[in-house]
Amino acid sequence: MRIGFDIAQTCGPKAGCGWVADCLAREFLRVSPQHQYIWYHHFDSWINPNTDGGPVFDARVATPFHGVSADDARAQWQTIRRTGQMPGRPDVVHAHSFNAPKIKGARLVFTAYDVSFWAHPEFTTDLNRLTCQRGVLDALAHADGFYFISEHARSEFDRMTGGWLQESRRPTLVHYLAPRHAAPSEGWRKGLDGPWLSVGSLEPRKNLDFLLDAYRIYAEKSRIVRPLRMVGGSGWMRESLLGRISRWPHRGSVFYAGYVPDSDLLDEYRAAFGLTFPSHYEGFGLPVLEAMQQHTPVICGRVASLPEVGGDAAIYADIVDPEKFAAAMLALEEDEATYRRRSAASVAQSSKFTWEGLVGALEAFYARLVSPEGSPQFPPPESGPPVKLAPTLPLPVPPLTTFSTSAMLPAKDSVLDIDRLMERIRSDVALRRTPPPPKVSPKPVPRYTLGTLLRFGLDGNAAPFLGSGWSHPEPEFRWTDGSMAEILLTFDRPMPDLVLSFSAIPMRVNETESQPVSLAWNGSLVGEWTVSDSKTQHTLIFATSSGDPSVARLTFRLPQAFSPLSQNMGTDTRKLGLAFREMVLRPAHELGFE
Amino acid sequence: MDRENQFVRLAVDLTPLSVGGPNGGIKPYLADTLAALGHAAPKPYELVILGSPSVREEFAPVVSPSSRFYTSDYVEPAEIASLADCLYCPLGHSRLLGSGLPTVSLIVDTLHRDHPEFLPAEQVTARENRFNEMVQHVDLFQCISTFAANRLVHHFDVSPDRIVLSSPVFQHGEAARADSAGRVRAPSFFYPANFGPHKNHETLLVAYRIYREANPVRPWPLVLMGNDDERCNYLRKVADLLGIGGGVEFVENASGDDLKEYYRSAGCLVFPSIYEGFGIPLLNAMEMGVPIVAGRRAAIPEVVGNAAHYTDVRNPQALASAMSRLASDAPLRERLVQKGRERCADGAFKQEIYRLSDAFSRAIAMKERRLA
Repeated sequence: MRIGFDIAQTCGPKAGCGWVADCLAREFLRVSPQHQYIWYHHFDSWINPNTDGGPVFDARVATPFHGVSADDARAQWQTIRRTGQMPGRPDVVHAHSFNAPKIKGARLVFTAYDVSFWAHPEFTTDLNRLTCQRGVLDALAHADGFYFISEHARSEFDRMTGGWLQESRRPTLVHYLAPRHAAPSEGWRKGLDGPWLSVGSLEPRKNLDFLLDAYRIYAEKSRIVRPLRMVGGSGWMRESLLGRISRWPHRGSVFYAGYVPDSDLLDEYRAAFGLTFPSHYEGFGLPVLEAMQQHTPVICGRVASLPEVGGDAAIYADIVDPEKFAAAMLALEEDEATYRRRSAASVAQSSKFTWEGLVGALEAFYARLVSPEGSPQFPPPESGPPVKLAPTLPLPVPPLTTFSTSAMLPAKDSVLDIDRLMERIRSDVALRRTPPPPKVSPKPVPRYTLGTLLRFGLDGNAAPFLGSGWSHPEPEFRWTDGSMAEILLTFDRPMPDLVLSFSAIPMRVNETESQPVSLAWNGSLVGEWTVSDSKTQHTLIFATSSGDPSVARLTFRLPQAFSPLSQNMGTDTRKLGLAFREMVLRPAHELGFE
Repeated sequence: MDRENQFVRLAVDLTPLSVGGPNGGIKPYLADTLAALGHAAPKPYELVILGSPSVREEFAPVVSPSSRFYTSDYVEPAEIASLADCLYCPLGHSRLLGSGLPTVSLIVDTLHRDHPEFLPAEQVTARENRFNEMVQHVDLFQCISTFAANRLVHHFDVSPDRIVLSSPVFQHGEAARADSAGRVRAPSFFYPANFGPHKNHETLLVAYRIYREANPVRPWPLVLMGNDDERCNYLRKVADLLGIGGGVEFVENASGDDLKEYYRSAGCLVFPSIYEGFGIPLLNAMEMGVPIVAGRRAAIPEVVGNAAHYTDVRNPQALASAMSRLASDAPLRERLVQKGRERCADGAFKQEIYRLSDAFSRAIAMKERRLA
């Protein structure tokens, strides 16, 4: 396989996303040397001032952007956006920087770290929020697969997009990250006189003000009073936090070590007595895992992805009440045996997370996307909303007794498929500026008695109710002609909530195709279907307050109707959509709807 | 010259105004304001309006018949100085700033300083240059919210003495309410706003998807009114991508009775904008009895007070919950409408025009003092 990696965020100081890209690129090279790799040092909108600082590579890696200036990279990416052609002819491209360009000839995998920019906008800047939002929306359009670093990240993504992932059936992979450092050698014994450690940049999401509150309480009560060491790059809360730390007037001591290189971070983890990690929100929580690997127990909140990482080994404390967090710190100090047990459990938990595991899972995921059978089946965004099975209604609908099913439908379709009932009950939608009242038809609109079966064929009774958009009747049915077909009805009494059912055959070139159709009732959308066979379709129509309740104009919209001539299927020039057989409207309460 | 009993000749530079809707809510406000200035007491104004032929078409029917229009591409600053006593620049900047006339400029907001991330870099630079020029040449600034005034002071060190607060206010009052009363409202979520990034349409579309997933039965449609531009096309694609294309209607900017018709059929004004110097749709919604969902951002709380259901409009889940709540809670809607109505103080419009008119007099006096 030719695997392309977006490593744009590895150039320069690395935050979480940069580390993921860095580790994956290196670990793939180590674990799976049989592939060919292409590393992109600039990726779409992530253009670096220079490409130094990325992971070390050798002759096995193609690096089309290494050493390319920012201006040249911008120009090259403009071409890529226009042509979709990625340098190095990759089979799969894995994007790690919240960019999802439209590419051709390769599958795009998008790492969705977290959606904190939506869930907790108060923890980020507007610029970052806009960038991430744009990246995620682009990914919905262009990504062939989504990689999540925790189950929480996946479920949050789905929650924040209203179930889009499930509905789109886009392939997803959830797999945890792994620690970046080596585990201590056999027999290494952790000292107990280390400081409390905090790892994380100085930004509100990390809840470091709270940590200082908790530490202050801890220091007042502790017999030992360990110092608190804070490690992490500066964030946008730097000023206020540093101000607090530099003038620490209370018992105990707080040191801010700033950004430390990766190798020094290992020493910090090893030396620490415990990691205090009261973060509000994480996509994964790498410091939790890396501390545990170095025998260092972790105190954190039971929030976001942290329980997935910490398992039974982490100590979960309240991250709102500093008294409670301080109590957890004091408890860990109380008794050495308990501390040792917690430390051993931490090591055991961390050993479940390996790069080999992640690389293997991603490899299989890429292979699935690249293989012809595994290529994702979803409609391109241009083709309109994905069809979704709406939840079935609480009460089953009895079969349509008024339908002469044997005459109307082939035998195999004669059993009503309850599961397909009432797909997409959605009303009051679009199609209007102000709800247009039904236009007065030049001919009087005939009265329709609820429950009457309208038959559309030659001997049928539907003709008086038909408005524009219909062809001539044929023995068993009548085609719609054009992208819209209308039915006009008056009722002898104000209309109650109704169930409309109809059976029709879709116009299609081959059996795998279908006809999308929507139905507007006096201008309000009341149903949408994708008709792929002659099964009976249903929708619930509520007694609407718009327009005259005793008159109804039913507008079937058939945006993909076409003429047989246009598809070389004959000489017929009519624009055919559905061949209607029968239709009936019945009061909903008769069918068991409340 | 004894001006007490004379018309003041006011040059109004509408040259930067675009045809149709791209300027957003400012145009209807200007139409009302310029119409009122023609009849302002104690001093009516004779308007000399500069702008494209389309400006003439749009404004001639509403302003006083004595107004004159200059539609030529270029008018010499010196020529303007001979035609008018004072220059009003409702679009802020004007190439006539150097004309020597006493000048009042309307500053809607300082978006490029508060949120440069919402604008292309070249626009930030261009706006910055225009602001610097205005700070140098303009005698008085009109701001339409205290929020915008504070930002102007904060960013450009403009002395508060140079700022006049004159805001859009309710003016259709009883007539609009009488119009909207008694109609059956087929509910929709309505958001009239051009598609600038700070208007936050993406988050709204994601929220609307969540709302529809949570309310599969009879969800309210979403009507987005704005200028049909590239961003609009992009947002259409996002809506389709999210599978809500059928529930979202994009409509071109409307004005006058057509616009009122949209408000009348709105069940809720959903206003997720991140940044507003004022937010004229908020005013229209309160006036027309439409409940509001919005964020506590920029000038919005100043305009709406407690007549909105506030939420964090950056969080699609929170926004969706607010929309669900509004759509399902009729008593809440009624309460919000009631509070909105309480904010509609009839007669306030005259006062605001008086303040603006006073600004012109002050600018003229300042100039005369300088000359003396």
